[in-house]
Amino acid sequence: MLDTLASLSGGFETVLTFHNIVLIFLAGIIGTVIGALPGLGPSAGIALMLPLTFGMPHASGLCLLTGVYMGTMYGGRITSILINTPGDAPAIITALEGYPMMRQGKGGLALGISAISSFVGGFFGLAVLVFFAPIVAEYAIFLGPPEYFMLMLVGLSTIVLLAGDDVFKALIVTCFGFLVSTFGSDYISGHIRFAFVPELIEGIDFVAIIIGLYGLGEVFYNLERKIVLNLGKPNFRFSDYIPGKEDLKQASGPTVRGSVLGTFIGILPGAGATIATFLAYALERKLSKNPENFGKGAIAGLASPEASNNAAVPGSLIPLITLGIPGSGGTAIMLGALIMFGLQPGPLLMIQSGDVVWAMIAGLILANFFLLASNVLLIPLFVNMLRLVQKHLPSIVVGLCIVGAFSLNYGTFNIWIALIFGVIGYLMRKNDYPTGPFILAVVLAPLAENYFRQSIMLAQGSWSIFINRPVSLTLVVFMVLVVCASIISKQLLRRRRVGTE
Amino acid sequence: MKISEIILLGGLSVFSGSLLWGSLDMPYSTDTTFGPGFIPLNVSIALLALIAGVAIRAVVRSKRDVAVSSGGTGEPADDAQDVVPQTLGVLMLGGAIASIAICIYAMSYIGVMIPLGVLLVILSWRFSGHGFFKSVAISLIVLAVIYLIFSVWLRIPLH
Repeated sequence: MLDTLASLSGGFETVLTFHNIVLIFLAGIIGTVIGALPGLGPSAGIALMLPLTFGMPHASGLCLLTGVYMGTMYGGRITSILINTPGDAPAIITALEGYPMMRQGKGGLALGISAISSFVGGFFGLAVLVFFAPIVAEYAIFLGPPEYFMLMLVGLSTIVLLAGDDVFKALIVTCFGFLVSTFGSDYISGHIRFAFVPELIEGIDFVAIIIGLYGLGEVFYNLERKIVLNLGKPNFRFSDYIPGKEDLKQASGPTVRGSVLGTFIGILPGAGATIATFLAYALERKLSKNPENFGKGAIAGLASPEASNNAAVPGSLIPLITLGIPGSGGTAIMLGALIMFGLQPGPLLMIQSGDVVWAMIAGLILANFFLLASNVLLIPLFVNMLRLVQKHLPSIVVGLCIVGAFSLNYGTFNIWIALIFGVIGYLMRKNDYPTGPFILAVVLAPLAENYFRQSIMLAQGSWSIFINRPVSLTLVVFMVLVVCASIISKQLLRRRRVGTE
Repeated sequence: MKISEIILLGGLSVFSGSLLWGSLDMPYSTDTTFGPGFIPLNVSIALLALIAGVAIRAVVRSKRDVAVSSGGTGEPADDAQDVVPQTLGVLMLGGAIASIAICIYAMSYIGVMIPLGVLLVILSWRFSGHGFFKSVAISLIVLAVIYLIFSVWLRIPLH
């Protein structure tokens, strides 16, 4: 413990120079802006900043990249809450509760709560990174395909919680999500599935789907219904943007739970922040005394996923630093950066280049503080900017969505995809088909399919591998319990509702 | 069932039907594990079955509703006209979608910025109900901001 603290203080000594402090502050702001732009997430943010690190000292370069990474997690929530267009995948869940809050005139409050939850989540993840990284990483490598498959199934079982009133509709959109995820190269056999055009060889870009489903879908729905936002006139009373005691009390429990969940999901390679947010949301809905408030601006449903997605960033750095395994797209580019700097990611990194790694961790801690301050201070700016342009929002959102989809591969293909999913999103919204299970299936189905087929291959065609391994068996039991508890509680709630009517 | 729901489910049926057809050409299983056709085949069958289930349920419900609201005479209920979509809104929506589609098509030939600028003006002027000059002014500002962020700062080739 004392060794760890000594190493961390050494990291702070390296980082606390005027040049590095300014660099980390700017990295946070740049990450926030990139995260807020539809189509650009952590991977794009880090990749765009990579050329700037050439020639920088290693510690400064890594601080810049990790600061951008952390900043994108803060930024993703801004457009989610304000215009229902998630900047990146982990911010999808934020839109489910944040946007309804914004429509109720509580956009500033939603941004405030999510900024504080993001800070707490990031801080918790960093604490685990500092004190428990080697221990946790040691256990994480013992999980094999069967355990990962069961983990994905646990994630998919939360569809029951995201389903809404009509399970049939939820199952339809889930199957649709599964099918959408099957496009492109099959990782196990190399077979190319449903590549009707060459662009589909790599599959359908998930970000194009969310841009269409949420951004364009919302615009189409509002256009048809002639809904015009009325957010009032701009004002700069700071008290409107800072959460009160009662709001913070409501957010505290979910924030802590989201932080813990996000960190541990983030550690698992391949799982990442998006899955952490879905699980955190499902958990809060399960624990809530008023689950019917979810989807209408529930603070718990906003705070927990936000905490989990920021906690997943330090979490995903644990396997990267200790084992050299990137757990997500963002950390994969970070791995490239480490190699580019001449560092050797893996178990020896902390021994051979401990000074650089500890400086990076210290930089992340500093970035987290800067990001909280800048994000809270910038809330009035964001909200009032939205108030100023609210009458022109449809064309602004369409413009951002089109350019965001274009920036995915510098071609029009993803804009067509976004348009198609915009129409689908509009039709789903109009007919009360939930989007949550669809997105969850699109995210988890390819992972679940790969792990499932790898597991069966490992067991030479036998299914017993899922119950012969203790961790896998535990997850099977847990999943069955989650599904049963959800169905029973839904039935009880329905009976109670019928009784009161 | 609303017309929009019929369109959604019809589209999903065609989609899953075509994937079902395509998956028949893929290996269902290999010696040691399942093949690439396993998931698409089973899930598309499940999706078609679910859509059929929802359609049957809707037919049963509408018959029951007709029977209840017309006192068992078999005449359609008065509120059946709710099913007729708001024509103007749907026309607006169709126009917006068509404008975006034309804009994307044009982007393949002349770059992103010019078609996007025209689209922003049309959306603001024809669909959001702003005056022409105001629409042009706002669209130019939005276009300038998009250009500065994406093209100048992030170096994404928009033209």
